[in-house]
Amino acid sequence: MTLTVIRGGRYDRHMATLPSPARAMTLGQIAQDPEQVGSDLMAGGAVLVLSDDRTVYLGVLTRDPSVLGDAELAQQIEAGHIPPLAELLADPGVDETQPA
Amino acid sequence: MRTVVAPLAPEIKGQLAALDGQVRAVAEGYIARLRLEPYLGHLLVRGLLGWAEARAVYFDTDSSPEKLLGDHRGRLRAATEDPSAGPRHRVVYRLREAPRAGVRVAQILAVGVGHSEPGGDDAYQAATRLLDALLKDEQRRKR
Repeated sequence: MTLTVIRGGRYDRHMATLPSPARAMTLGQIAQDPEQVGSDLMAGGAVLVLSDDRTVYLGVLTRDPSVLGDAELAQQIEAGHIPPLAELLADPGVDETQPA
Repeated sequence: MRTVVAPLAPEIKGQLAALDGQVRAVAEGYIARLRLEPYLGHLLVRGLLGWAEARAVYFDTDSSPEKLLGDHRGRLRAATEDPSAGPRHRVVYRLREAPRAGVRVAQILAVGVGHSEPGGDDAYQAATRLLDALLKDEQRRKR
């Protein structure tokens, strides 16, 4: 068995549930450095997206599964590749939250 | 979270119809089973299917999709054996989880042989074609 002592800031980063790195960027800044934004998101980060004049929060870029999954499903439904949610739920699916 | 299988695309219905009756029945059994065991297939890592985190279930005519425990994954192929020595057929699919909507959707991308003769078509190629077409269609709609 191997035990590893993690202390200080490294421990805090492991235990945190907040996205990291988190930054606020304008649309223009994102367009100038898409690779860096992409790697930050892949690392579990989030980007608060601002209008170029910094007056409006447009939204958040994130790969958080709780947001990404819903957005992806919604997008596929709107594209017509998957039927609307009500129709999907008519499928005799399996609800793992319900006892058998 | 509730797991459902999205209605099959016309391409998939065509692929199922082209299969031998016994193979088709087993394939349909595995598709139905994805509702119970959505992570049944192993994760694909290459190309567009890897990017989409697609999965593949391996099966043969003698596989038993109704068996929840036991030898349902079929005979494993040794590393020294030819790729065609393992289970011959595949169900390729991808999962989309929407936690807030409380639903997990399995979307079937292809059903067919895993490794075809040179120049032939296999399930991975068919799945890649369908996924590529879906993605291009989404891009067109955005314009």
